[in-house]
Amino acid sequence: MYSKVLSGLVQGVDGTLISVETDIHDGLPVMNMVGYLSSCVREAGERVRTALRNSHFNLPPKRVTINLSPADIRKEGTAFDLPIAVGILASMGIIPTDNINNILILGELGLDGHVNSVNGVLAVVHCAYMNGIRRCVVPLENAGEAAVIEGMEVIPVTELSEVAEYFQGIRAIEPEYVDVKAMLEENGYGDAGDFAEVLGHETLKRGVEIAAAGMHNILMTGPAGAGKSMIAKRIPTIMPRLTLDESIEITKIYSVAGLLREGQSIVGVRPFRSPHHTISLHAMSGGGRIPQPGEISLAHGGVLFLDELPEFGRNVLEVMRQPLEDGVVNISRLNGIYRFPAEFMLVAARNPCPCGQFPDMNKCTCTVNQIKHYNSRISKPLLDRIDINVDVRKVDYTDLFEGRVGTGSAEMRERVLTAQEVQRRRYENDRIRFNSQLDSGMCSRYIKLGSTEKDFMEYCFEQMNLSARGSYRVLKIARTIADIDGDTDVNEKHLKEAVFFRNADSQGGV
Amino acid sequence: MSDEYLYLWFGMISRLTHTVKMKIAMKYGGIRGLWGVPENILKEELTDIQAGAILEHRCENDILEYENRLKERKIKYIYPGHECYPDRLYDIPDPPMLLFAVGDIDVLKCHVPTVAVVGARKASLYGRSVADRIAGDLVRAGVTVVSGMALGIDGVAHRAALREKGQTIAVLGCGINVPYPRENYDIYHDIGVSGGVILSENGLDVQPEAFRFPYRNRIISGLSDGVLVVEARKRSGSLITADQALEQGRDVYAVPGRITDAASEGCNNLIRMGAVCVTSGADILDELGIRTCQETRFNKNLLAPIEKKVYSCVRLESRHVDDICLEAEMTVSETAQVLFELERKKLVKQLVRNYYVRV
Repeated sequence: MYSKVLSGLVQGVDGTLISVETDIHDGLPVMNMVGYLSSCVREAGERVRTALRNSHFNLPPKRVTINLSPADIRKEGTAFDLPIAVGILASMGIIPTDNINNILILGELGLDGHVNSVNGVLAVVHCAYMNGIRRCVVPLENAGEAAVIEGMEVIPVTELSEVAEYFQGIRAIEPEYVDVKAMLEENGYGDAGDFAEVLGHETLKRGVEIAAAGMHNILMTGPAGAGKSMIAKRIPTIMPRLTLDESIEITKIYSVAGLLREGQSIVGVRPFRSPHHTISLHAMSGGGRIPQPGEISLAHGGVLFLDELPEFGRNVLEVMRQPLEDGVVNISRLNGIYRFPAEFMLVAARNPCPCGQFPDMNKCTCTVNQIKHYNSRISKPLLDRIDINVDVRKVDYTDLFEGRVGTGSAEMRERVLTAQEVQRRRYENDRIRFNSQLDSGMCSRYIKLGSTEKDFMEYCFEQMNLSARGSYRVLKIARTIADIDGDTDVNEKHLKEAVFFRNADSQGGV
Repeated sequence: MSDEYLYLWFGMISRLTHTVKMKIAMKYGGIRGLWGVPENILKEELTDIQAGAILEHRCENDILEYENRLKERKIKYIYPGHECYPDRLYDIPDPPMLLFAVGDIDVLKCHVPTVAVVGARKASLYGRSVADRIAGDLVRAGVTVVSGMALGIDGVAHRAALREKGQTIAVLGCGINVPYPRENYDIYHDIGVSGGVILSENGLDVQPEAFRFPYRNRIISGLSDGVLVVEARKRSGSLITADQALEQGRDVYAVPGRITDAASEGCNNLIRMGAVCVTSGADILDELGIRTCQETRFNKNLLAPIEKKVYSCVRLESRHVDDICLEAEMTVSETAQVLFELERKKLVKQLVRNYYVRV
């Protein structure tokens, strides 16, 4: 008898639906599996057969043919165990075929019939929901993650026998429910700390505030121990809470990468990724035979912090250039092109010279060439993509211990939120979300300059050797500053501050 | 064979140092004598390297060809006896026999006072800002600034002179057409087009090698009435220039630094040994006996109150923006705007990103 069960797999971070067709008919007792299978899917046959027997279902001595269609997609992963088992049960007549129509089934089987968790459930369930499927059967451990999709009835299961009974209609299973809103609220900002604890770096804090408001990239240069990492860690605390859509997008990536903690159904805090500088190219961009998201995708919607920027491999840094512009990374493999989202805010930190003391010449022990060599490790094109450059200096004793309090996260967040809200409204009909994503056409549409402002830009262009790209960057930063200040038009004062923070060309003067 | 070509031929020999070349020339009765010495005698009496270097271009065709190459590149050459050969160089112990020049060589004829501004390549922010101020002051008073176009103080001095549209002379330690270091290519280019002059004892394509620089230094001091050392460590090339200046009977000026600053140790030593302690351009002008009309200092009262407030927080020593904000009790955003305005009025400047200093 023929039966058809719905399942799915993940390509990149997006799900694809796969039909599992099973047919049992007379012939030699063998199990045939077809449909461009990888070896881990092929092994499913053995697991399913044993799991069925240990759950007290005996396979009839007949010829079993299983097809996973569409047959031109390479099938990977272990999530097909459960749908194949259900398909066989339906073909054996144990489960009525009507009961499995339009239900998504995912899960790996143990030999004893236990249903084990799989990766990438959210992506597949989301895809199924988009295709009009409204019920799914998933392993108990993944149920929370699947239940994030509102309107989807998620049936959590632990045993194959339980699944069979559920489909036979002799057992009811309570659908999983999670209160996503509450979860987002409750997750809040994690335990990253508060900006009030950062003392004496008011310039950098203002820079960070502007960067967060317009999702600009920022580079901090300063001696070791000045507080660069401390500041970077606190950046997510001044960014807006995740919206449900953003959260689902990020959770999909983490689900594919298998990074959701046990019992965690959703990523509720903005990601803060700080890979070590020994990271490989593929770990940064995403890769592997079956591409997995890299750090730039895991930082999607949040902050990618690169401490000791010049220590990173050159090719590792260069690979970020295209994602920094496009917000996605495309990885080509034999089986197709995988597309991972990578809209992140790049926060980088570096020392001014190898010993870290420049420009304090009494302490700096580096030669001129060492400093130049150190600085040249970061390519100009990459530096060009960094909007905000701030040098930090070591804080004084008085800053630390004289009891002054710096600007706190709450205050900064309020300004960031206002600015982002303004941007959201302004770009409602565009495909962008933040000022940093403006292209040259949109720049002239959304940044109207008066005559004083035009003169100012001309002055900068001529006197300060601003490049064409540089002046667009200045305009975008000025737009963000105006948004923070609540001004509709970009004025000269915003431009001045923007030039101050852009400041890309006056690098450590040797 | 004219004197001109003999000098040019002598200048083309770049594989021997000036001292060695002169010793050999003296042995055979001057450059003309050397030109006429038979090949086998040279080979017998000199080392292989010396003989090889001298014989390398000893034929008229080579010289003419070389001269054409110079002409193509608009490079001139001057020698003792040439109308543009600087008078000052006649009275130093070992004057260069040939100088290649790019730019306006008439500058060398003028009898305006000249001061060499030299110092560390790895200069501190303090050294840079002082060099910039003093070189600017000197140029405004009509003094020609001589330096070596190196990184650090030298470069700052040249740039200050160019900015003030004054005359400046750069003496290179490498070949005349080798703009070394690359970072200062802008100076090399600007001097060539703005009425200054670039000199070098070395001909085309000679690479910068350490032994050539002390020889270069004697020309820097030789061209000047006085040598100002802005910043020098305990053992610094600038001290060689100062030594040579003393040998040549030039004045030596030094900018004092804090006693704890390693970067100023050499300067403080010079002062202890009797160099003139200089704290402004006027000190040097006084020494040279140049009267300057009262400098038109800008009137601080013309600044807006807020600008005045920020300006008063910027020091002669560079300061980070954070400190300026703190003292002015203003937000970063306001301070940044005011600083930009002051920078535009050329009252303050950024030497390294986010560190401001008074001009």
